Amino acid sequence: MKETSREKEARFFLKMKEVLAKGKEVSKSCLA
Amino acid sequence: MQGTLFDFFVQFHITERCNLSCRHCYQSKLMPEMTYDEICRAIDNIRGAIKGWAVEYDMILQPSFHFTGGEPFLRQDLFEILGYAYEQDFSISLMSNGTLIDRPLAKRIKDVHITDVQISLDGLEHTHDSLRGKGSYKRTLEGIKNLVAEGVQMSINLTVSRINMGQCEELIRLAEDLAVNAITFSRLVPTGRGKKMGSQSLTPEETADFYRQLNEYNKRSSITVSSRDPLAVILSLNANEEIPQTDIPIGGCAAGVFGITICADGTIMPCRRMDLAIGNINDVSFRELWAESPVLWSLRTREDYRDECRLCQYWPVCRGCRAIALAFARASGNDDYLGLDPQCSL
Repeated sequence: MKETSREKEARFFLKMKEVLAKGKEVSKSCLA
Repeated sequence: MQGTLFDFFVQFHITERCNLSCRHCYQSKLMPEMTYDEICRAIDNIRGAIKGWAVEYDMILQPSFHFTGGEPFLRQDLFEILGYAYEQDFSISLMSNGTLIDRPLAKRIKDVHITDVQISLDGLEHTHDSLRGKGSYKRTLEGIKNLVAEGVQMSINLTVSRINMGQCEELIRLAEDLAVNAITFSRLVPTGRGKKMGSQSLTPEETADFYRQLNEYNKRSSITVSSRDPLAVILSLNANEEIPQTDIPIGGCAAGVFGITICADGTIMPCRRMDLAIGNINDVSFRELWAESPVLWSLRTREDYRDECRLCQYWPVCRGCRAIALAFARASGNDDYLGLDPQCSL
């Protein structure tokens, strides 16, 4: 079944939330 | 504070008009610009996405807008735009060439809620003027002095190439004398007008040496000497620092992960220097685009990268500069933005 837009969004944020919650951010981001 | 903190920023190019015509600029042709009302709608569009994410995933978003151009001070409605973004709970910063900032304007900047003003300075006088136009160095320095005199939090940013890499130490001393808060360094991206300057890009070894040197200067300097370039961040890590092996980025290049760029006509790009249009903010729901864009997903997906980058232990916190990877790929006749950063020496 095709993944919906909200499911895709959840895939990103839930994964991001999981790593950030563990305090795993080690570098600042660059977007010049 | 509950929830997970997630920094998210938008680089918003509110005009492409500029009073300078720098040789290394990423612009190639002038694009039309959005009206004030369209910009406000774009801010609302992005704010809607952020509010949705915060509620849906119990995250604390720390959204910011970095307004730039072109030269942002050429827009007569700049302060209205800044005010609107601030009222919508965004922290706001500015990037400018500094040449138009007289003392009254610096005072006006001080009086709005700007967290940082970044001014571009690309070398000592002769070098800066050869890149940005005769007389621009003196005007930029005046702008910096006016901002400092008004107590505005500010930094100098230098675009590094073979043309100015040897002036680093003198420029740090100048920045210290000017009493700015920081001097930061970015790499030249040979795209737009800067395409002709590809041969002035540093080699991987020169890049590594340059950033190692910066780390040493930072230890000795009274101001912050740094670079947010992923390659610089990697080189500043301790040799025994353990890198979490996640399959989602947790640092490094922000394009499509922690940030996005909106161009003057509303075109959305992962990064302004990464000339890949993925939609237009006037026509799309930003929330939908963030979830759906195949380009954004490829930037977040380890498996999509070429081996040299994908297999690197630093992938989660680096991925190099995707804009430079794309610029060099295009010079070779393809659009592969997921290849090795050609200036990476790891």
